[in-house]
Amino acid sequence: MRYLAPAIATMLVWVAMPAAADTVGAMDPVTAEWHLVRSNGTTTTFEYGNPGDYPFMGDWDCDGIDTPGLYRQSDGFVYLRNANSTGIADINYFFGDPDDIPLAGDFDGDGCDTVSIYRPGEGRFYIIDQLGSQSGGLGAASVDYLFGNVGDQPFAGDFNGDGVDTIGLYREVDSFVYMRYSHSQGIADRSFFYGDPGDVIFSGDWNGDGTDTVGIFRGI
Amino acid sequence: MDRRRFIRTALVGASAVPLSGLLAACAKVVNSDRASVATTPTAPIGTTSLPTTTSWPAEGSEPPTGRATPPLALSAICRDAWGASPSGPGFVGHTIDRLTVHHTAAFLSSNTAAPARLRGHQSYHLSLGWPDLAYHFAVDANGNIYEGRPLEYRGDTGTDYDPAGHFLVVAEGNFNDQQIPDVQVGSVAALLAWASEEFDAPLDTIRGHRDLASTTCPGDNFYSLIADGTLAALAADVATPDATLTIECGSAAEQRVADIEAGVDSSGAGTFFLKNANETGQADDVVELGDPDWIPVSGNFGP
Repeated sequence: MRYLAPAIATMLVWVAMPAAADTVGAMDPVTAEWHLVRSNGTTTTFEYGNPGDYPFMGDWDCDGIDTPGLYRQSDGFVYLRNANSTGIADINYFFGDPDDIPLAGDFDGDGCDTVSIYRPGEGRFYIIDQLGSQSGGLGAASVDYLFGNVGDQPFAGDFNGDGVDTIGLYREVDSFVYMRYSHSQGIADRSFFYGDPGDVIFSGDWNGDGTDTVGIFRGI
Repeated sequence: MDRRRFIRTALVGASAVPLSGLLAACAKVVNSDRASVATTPTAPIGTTSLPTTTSWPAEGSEPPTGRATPPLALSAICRDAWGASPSGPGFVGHTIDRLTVHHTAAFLSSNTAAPARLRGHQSYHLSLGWPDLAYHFAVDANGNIYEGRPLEYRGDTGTDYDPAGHFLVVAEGNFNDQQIPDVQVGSVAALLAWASEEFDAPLDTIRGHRDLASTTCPGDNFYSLIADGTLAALAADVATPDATLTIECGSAAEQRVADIEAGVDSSGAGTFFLKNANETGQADDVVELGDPDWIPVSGNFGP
């Protein structure tokens, strides 16, 4: 959900406006071809990145539209683009270490997405609320904490509708989903079964109610 | 793209891979995976279906003039390849003049189990004193077609209708509890198209088991496609003169079964199961997109 300031100056509260529902897409890791289902049901296809890059989506320029991002796990470089089309990256920088897993989200609720990472060997999240630039490094994370077990699948989303994306984990061996509602170490605020072993988890606001819920991708 | 177009696209995309399947008595569940129901997401019919692996002409376009549509060519995995037991005694001859669809009523959480399920269904039917698997063909969740009972013999049923004259196709799965994959619907439709021509059985004779007997077979989620004419329309779409059905045997067929059991048969697709609440339960929406090895993303991509 995106919080929009009301036009009437006398209103001192933020008004929660219904957000556009999220949809799904996928990248072919062999060809680096992206296929995105738009809200009108049409599919947009374009090439972006190199085979082997780790894809994700986010709103890098705060315009309300999610566009592609790539994480090159071999060197920890992030490549972000502000349009859903073929072209070069608008933003690139490095953050994290090789083999880290990128997580895109609005981790401070400011309406703009950034790219944090999960270090699978440690089970630790490194959350950062800014983007880098000009091929430079980004520096230290805003906050880091442990959550889950080594081998869990990380994902991010606004699981309680407060406008801030937090962290979730999917434990493939037993198909359990674990969600945290704040950026701090602690036990899961919500957990439930969903899917089957081998599924790939993600989240989105599928019905536009302002809360991100789970989805899984299965090759069948 | 609507479901009907997608199913046909999926069928065309799968044409290099034999379509197949076969089953057991609708109301008799064997080897059920019921325990997995709560953890296996499924979604209602009518959800978005978006193929990308196969190109498709623009809406409303027609094949170029003078270019013939190739005949429908299907193949089915032969009985030996999927491990069928020998038939028993008691077959009854008949002449096919109508087309009837069943489900196995056994929840299928992974298509890798499909060949074993089929063997289980046949074993169960033999244990009932029937001469063979009740059905002439079975279709699994990936659209693979399996040879069943010889076509010249009437099927069997534990319910109150006479299967004489019925071409019996069974879809693996319980479609009261799970959605039927588009590729599976596509293969059933193609089989019916072939049988319609082969036996001069009009497509308007297509029925679900529940139209003939007191049963929920073939499940609400499959039956809705029969009741609203979608299945017949799909069959009509893919029907061609000189359609063929090849029964595939030998090492190639055995490898196909091995691939199915290993989960690497090439007719699979990538499927998204989306849930509108963070809790256990069936998916609220299902989207088919791309290939199983693609990497999923999500977001608001704009109008």
